[in-house]
Amino acid sequence: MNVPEVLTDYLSKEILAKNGEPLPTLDQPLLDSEGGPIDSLNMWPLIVFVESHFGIKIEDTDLMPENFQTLRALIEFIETKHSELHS
Amino acid sequence: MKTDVAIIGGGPGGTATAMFLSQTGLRVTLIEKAQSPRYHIGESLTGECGNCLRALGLEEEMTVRRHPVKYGVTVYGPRGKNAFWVPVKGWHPESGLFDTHTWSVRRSDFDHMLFTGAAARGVSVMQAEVVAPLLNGDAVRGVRVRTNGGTVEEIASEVLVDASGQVTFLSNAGVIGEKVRGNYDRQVAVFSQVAGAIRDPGAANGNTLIFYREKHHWAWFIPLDDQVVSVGVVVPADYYRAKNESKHQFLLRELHQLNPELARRLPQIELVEEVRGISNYSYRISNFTGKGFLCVGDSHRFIDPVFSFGVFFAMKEAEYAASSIASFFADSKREQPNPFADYQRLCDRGQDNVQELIDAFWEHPYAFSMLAHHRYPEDIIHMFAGRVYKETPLPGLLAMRSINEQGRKKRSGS
Repeated sequence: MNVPEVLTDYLSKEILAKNGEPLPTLDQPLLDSEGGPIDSLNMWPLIVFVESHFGIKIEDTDLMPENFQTLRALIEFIETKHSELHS
Repeated sequence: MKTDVAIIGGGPGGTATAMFLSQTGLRVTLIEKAQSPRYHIGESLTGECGNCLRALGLEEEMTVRRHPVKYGVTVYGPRGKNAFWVPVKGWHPESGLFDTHTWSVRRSDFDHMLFTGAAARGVSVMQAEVVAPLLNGDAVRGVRVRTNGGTVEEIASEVLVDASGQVTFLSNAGVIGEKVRGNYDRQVAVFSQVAGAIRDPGAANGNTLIFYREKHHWAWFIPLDDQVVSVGVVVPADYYRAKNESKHQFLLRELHQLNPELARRLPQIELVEEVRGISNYSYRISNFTGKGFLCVGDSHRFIDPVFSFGVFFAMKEAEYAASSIASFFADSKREQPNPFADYQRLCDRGQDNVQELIDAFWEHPYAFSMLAHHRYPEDIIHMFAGRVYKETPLPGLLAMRSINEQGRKKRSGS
């Protein structure tokens, strides 16, 4: 499982291509409140994709900005969830 | 003079308590210092508030008076996109959710309808200013009033209802606790009424619109009749001060800049009312019931105006208060230390639940959005309608509570 690759591929094709935006670096903001590309509309499809692709459950209390604010944070969050599942 | 129940305040909380009580045969005296009708804001009613009006037999009168019919509320996100729609829906234990409507109201008309309605149902109405509660130990046994002519009079009551709104009469008089400030900083609301606004088409033209800019910075758009829409802007007090503008300048600029969708709906701004401003902030007063008294609505708690719960709380608590007062009079012994303790618990539960909803909306907008639209849309419909008193909390409410708790822990650094 390559989380960074799968995630950047999804973001590029499903979100960024539509707006013609470049892919944020690992530490650039991801959320639109900080100028990033993820807003409350495309956040849900992203969550559905992450849950189904990586086989993890994003709990209600996981829906906090710190898990989504950068690509690095989101990758870490997914990897942690994934390893919890398989440990 | 003597009365069974004395009610302070001729707003929706006081008049609805009076009207619900008028069905019991008790002697009810309603005390209001201002001449009715009088101006007020708080114009959008929730679904369950509509049901309070139905329970009072006022549905036909609401229709005849042509108060705009409200089928729901649209909340526009920043930059005018990401709108979400919450329909007004009723609920039936057998069939579940069903389509219904409530209203928005010009408060001077609406409050006057309730005021005259109370008088027509046998409630004694007194134009006077309340001076001080009459006490007997820790029990309240009435209120001293000054009439317009300047005469001071004592009204002895078995139960005194404080529905004085943000005046918080019993708290100011030291009978109950002090106002404890809530989570939110002081906010300023600047508002007026406009003609020529662009509404939603067709039957949706009476719906309430909310425009979000950022945390605690938003605007309302509430139709009041065929022509006129109430518009107002709520901002943190520091933001308002820093702008250093007149209320008029401030409102016009904000209506233009706050949210592109709001600007689109106000192509020309023709104000048909003076521009007014108030500062408000969340507060609560504990122990708002006791021997011989209880509080209704804003007289014990005010959360945040964003989702139009003000008149709803006043009228729903009026309904519960009237039922609790009726039970008190039916009980011949009357030996309980606080006959209205159950009423207080019920009010606290409803207000606490709405507080969770509003905290989640302001503090955790992304999580709120995911829960409201995707994970628990029906629960959000229930809460926006005002079905917030059930003993077993809805899953969507529990989710918001967990998120808020997590946020509070993080903020306090533990």
